[in-house]
Amino acid sequence: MTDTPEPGQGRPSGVLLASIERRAKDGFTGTLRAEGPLSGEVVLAGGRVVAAATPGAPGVEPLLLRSGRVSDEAWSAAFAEGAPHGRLAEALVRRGVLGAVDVEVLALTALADAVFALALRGVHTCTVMPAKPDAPGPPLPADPGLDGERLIKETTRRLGAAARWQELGLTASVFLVRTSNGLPSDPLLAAVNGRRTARDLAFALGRGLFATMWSLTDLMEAGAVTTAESASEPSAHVVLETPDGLPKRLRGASDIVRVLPFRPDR
Amino acid sequence: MNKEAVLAELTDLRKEVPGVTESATASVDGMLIASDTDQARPDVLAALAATTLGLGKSTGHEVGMGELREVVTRCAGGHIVVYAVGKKALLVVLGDEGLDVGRLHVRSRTTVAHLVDLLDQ
Repeated sequence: MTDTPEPGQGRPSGVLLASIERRAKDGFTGTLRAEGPLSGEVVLAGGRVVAAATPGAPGVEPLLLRSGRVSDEAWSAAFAEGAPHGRLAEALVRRGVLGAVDVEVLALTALADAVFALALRGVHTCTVMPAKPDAPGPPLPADPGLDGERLIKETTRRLGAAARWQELGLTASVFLVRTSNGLPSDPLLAAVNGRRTARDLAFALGRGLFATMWSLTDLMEAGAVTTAESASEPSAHVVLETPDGLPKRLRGASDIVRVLPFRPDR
Repeated sequence: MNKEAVLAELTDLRKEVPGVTESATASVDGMLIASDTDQARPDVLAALAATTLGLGKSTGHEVGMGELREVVTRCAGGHIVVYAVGKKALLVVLGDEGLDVGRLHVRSRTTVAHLVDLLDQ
């Protein structure tokens, strides 16, 4: 089953939000598969939104690991213990990686950020997939999840803020450049390198997309960051052509021996 | 070989697929042809990608799974995906944790086809 936009329904974000609203009212349990410039999934249980994920916003794992809040070792151990049984949250708390409240806040933050990212880029269709009994659920669902109406209200508020940011030229997918020279102390400013969008910066630093865009707006208003018409020129390494069009290898030219472990038998 | 056109293919891929951060193209013996890199060392990346591709092909043939589609490596900090570009070259793509792998597999077919043409010129 696919939820498509009603005739005259102008805003592409409306497809997603209307679908969430409708399914929440129906007490739906399953997944809404969103397709558009970004793909993503919104998971509902008994009409409450319990998880959402998209390549457009960092999920729980990058939020914890990239930010340095949790070590890779601690996360991997908790994941191996809890995820196969759908009990990642319990494992994180039991191992003292996070507190119960932290887990809940984290799950809700990732959920709201993913829905915001999808709505911001626009959704063409939402495919409704009822839950299957044996299918694994999301790794870290919010418990008891967000009321659909509340999520829509929050997303609409965020979209309103994003519309104001767009007047500065800031969108989730525009490439950004630093205007000031030197080494900035702000990690966000330091990560702006002409090759990254707000979405890329959110992933690089393990911060939510909405929070990252908000901070970028401050930096743009302060004149420290601006948008680039296109990404910066790549640090090109174009090798001289050989007669057959492809380069020939010179033994040891790549310095790969500095990366691979020493093999005395070779 | 049109160097600018090769680089344009790499940068277009980064701009169009969410999560792509860097990429390079190299000969199958690991010699760098062109790169759109930020933090990765292009020469080393090219050499390692060639090894990865060869290993993927050999493993696929050993277990009777036929022609290689791509080699996908997932790490804590992101993805490394290696595609064959015809018989003589390869494309290696780096992506963050949120890389849209499905979209990359679809979009990269166009890049690979264009690279085959460009590298044959």
